[in-house]
Formats: sequence, structure tokens, C-alpha cells
Amino acid sequence: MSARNTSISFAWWQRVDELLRGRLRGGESPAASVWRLVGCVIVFGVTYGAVMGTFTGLSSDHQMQLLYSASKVPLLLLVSFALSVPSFFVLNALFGVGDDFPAAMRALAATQAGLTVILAALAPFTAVWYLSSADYSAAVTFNGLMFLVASASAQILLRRFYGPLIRRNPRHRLLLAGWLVVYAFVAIQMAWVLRPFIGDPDQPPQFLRPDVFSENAYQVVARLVWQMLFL
Amino acid sequence: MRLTGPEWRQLLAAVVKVPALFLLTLAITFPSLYVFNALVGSRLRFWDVMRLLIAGIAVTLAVLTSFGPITAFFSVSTTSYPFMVLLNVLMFAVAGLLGLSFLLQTLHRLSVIHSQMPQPIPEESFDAGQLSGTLGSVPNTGPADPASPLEMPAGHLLAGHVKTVFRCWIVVFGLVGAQMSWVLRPFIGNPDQPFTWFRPRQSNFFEAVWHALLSLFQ
Repeated sequence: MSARNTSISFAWWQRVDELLRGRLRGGESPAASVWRLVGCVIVFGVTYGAVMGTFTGLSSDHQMQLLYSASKVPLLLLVSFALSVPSFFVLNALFGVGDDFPAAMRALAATQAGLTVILAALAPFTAVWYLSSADYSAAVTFNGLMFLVASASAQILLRRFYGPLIRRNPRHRLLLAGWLVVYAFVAIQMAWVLRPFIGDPDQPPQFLRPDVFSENAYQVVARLVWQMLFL
Repeated sequence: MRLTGPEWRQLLAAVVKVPALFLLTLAITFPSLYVFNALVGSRLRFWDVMRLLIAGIAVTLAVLTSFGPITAFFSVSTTSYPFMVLLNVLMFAVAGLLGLSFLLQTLHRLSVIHSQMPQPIPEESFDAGQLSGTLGSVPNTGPADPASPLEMPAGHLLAGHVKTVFRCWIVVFGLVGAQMSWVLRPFIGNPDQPFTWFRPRQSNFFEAVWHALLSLFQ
């Protein structure tokens, strides 16, 4: 590798390191920063997704599942993000902090990027789990646990990135809570739509389930709750 | 599932009915608001109140529009009609709450402007610039960080009776708006029924929402 490529790679890893430490490099516009962070989400999201999709193996019959899973992790995060932005923008304006919107977007995008870096770091654990167990339900649960760990850890980053905004204006705390509610509401349904992420070994690889539009995630949850409480 | 393909008339009906819902509800509730507002001695004149209410509706519709991508996503990712009804009820409720909060706080600001003037204000001196000023460039009579459009400016109180009239009106507006949405239904269009511009009179909004909620669990 040429010295220039080595230098670029090192600089890129330095940025990732700074991201994990809650530092965003200055000197570029918020928009450019957001696009760079979106790139980070794609790179690390694809990394974890690819590992996630290896549960069914790497035979020629199941290689497509690896590609499907690799594409779905950044899709889940970025499309959910994009759907939630318009309402967040309007609420920021209504609460009188519209001028801080670019900085808020940068902070949220940085948290997303950090989440995917954490996920990618947990990918080896997922790989070892797959090597240790062929149980599909257990694999689904384990991946859910990895996402939970990454999301919980990303809250540390969220506090670091969003903290300056909240210290500048306490209204940002309420807006952040609103963002988390809307984002989670959309992301849960998005995750339901994008199933399967891992791939059932007893079925051929498929990008979406054939019955994807028959029910939504909240119907399933509501029915389960009803059954638990009343049946 | 749908009886036929996409129903474009339902799309057109929804495009017409959503603004009509707000304007008709305003038309029904405005006369009483103006009358009681004048009775309690508010200095806001006819066009002041009208501009205030329309600004509040504009904020409501802006918030609703921002929820559009989320509603569209759920529209294409689920076939559950009760779920979509409840989702839209929630979206309209949130947008309505924010719009009415904006209305109340803007009313406070207009009252502050009134109270600072030494003489009665000629009607023509209140133009759209005064209302748009509440969205970001409020005359800063308070602390360095001005209140947002949804917060009451510090140290200012609206006359109790005027506040009471508007609070009662907000409740009436919500109830009338909810029932008006029932009268103007269907907005979404039940995929199990043929298209129609209006449905027959039966039941009411609250009963329908309750039935939709029960359908979700069963």
C-alpha cells in the first residue's frame, strides 16, 4: 500500500477513534459532516450486516442472504432516520431552536455512526455464536441482544454529542426525547418490514418475507399483550 | 385486501377533506369565540382573532405535513385499516395540540403588545408581520433567551377571563373537530368497502376510535 493510502487510512481511523470519544472534528460544514457520518453508518452497518447474514453459511445457495443482510442494517438505520427528520425539523422550529437544527442533525448522525461502529466491534461475538450454535431462534435473540448492547452504549455518545446543545438551551432535552420516541416508533416497524435479517436456514434466501404487508409490528405486539393479559 | 386497485378518488377526497376539516371546524367555532371574546372585554378585534386562529391552523398543518413521510411509510407497510385509523388520529391529535399551544402563546404575545401601547391601537396597524414576528423575532421585553412560540413569555399574564374563553374554545374546537372528522369520513378509505365520498350518519368519532382500538388487540 502506498504511503498516501496508508496516510488516508490512518486519518480515517483517527476520525473513527475521535467519534467514539465523542469528538467531532471542526473545520467542515454540518452538512458535509453529516454526509461523512452517513458514510460511516454504511461502512460499519454493512460490516455487521454481512456477519449477521452468515448464519446460514457461505454455500452458493445462501450467499445472497449475506448480501441482503449487509444491505439491511444501514437501510434500517438511515431510512428510519430520514423518515423522522421532517417532524424533528418542524418541532425544532416551533420550540424556537431552529438555528441549532444543523448541529442537532450532526449530533444525531454522529450517534448513529457510533452505534454502527459499536455493532461492527461486536460482530466477532456474533460470528463465534454462529460457530457454536445452529439454533435459529437463539441466533435471532443473540443478534437482538447485540443491537440492544450497541444501542445502550450509543446513549453515552448521544449524551456527549447532544450535551452542548442541551447546555446551550434546555429545550433540546425535550426535543431529544421527542426524537427518540418518533425514531423508535418508525424503526421498530422498519425492522419488521425488512425481515429476515438473518435468514431461516430452512428457507431460501429472500430480501423480504412474502407476508411482509399482512401485519405490522404493533399489531403483533398488541395481540401478544392481549393474549398475555386476557387469555 | 382492496376490492380493486389503488383508489385515486380516495386520494383526491383526502386532499380536499383535510383542509376542509380545519376550515369548517373554524367556521363553526369562530362566531362564538369572537362573541365571547368581545363580551369579556378583550381588545382583539375580528381580524386579529381570525388571523390568530388561521396561524394556529397553519402551524397544525405544518406539523401534520412533517408527519407525512411516517404516515406514508406505515401506509405502504401495513394493511391494517384500524391501525391506520388510530395512527392518523394520533398524528392529528399531536399536531392539533401543538397548533393550539402556539395559538395560546401567540395570544399572550398579542396581549403584551396591546398592554404596552399607551393608546388604543388602530386596526390597520396590526398586519401579518406582527404575527410572523412571534415565530422568531419577538420584541424582546424579557430575558436574553426569548420564549419559543410554544412557551409563555416570562412575567406576562393574560387576563383571566380572556384566557378562560380561549381555553374553553380550545376544548370545543377539539370536540367539534373530532366529530367533524367523523362527519366528513372516510379520509383513509376502508379497503374492504367501495369508494364513497361520504358515509351515512351513524355512531360517532369516539365510539369509532374505541372500536378501532379493540380491533387492534383482537
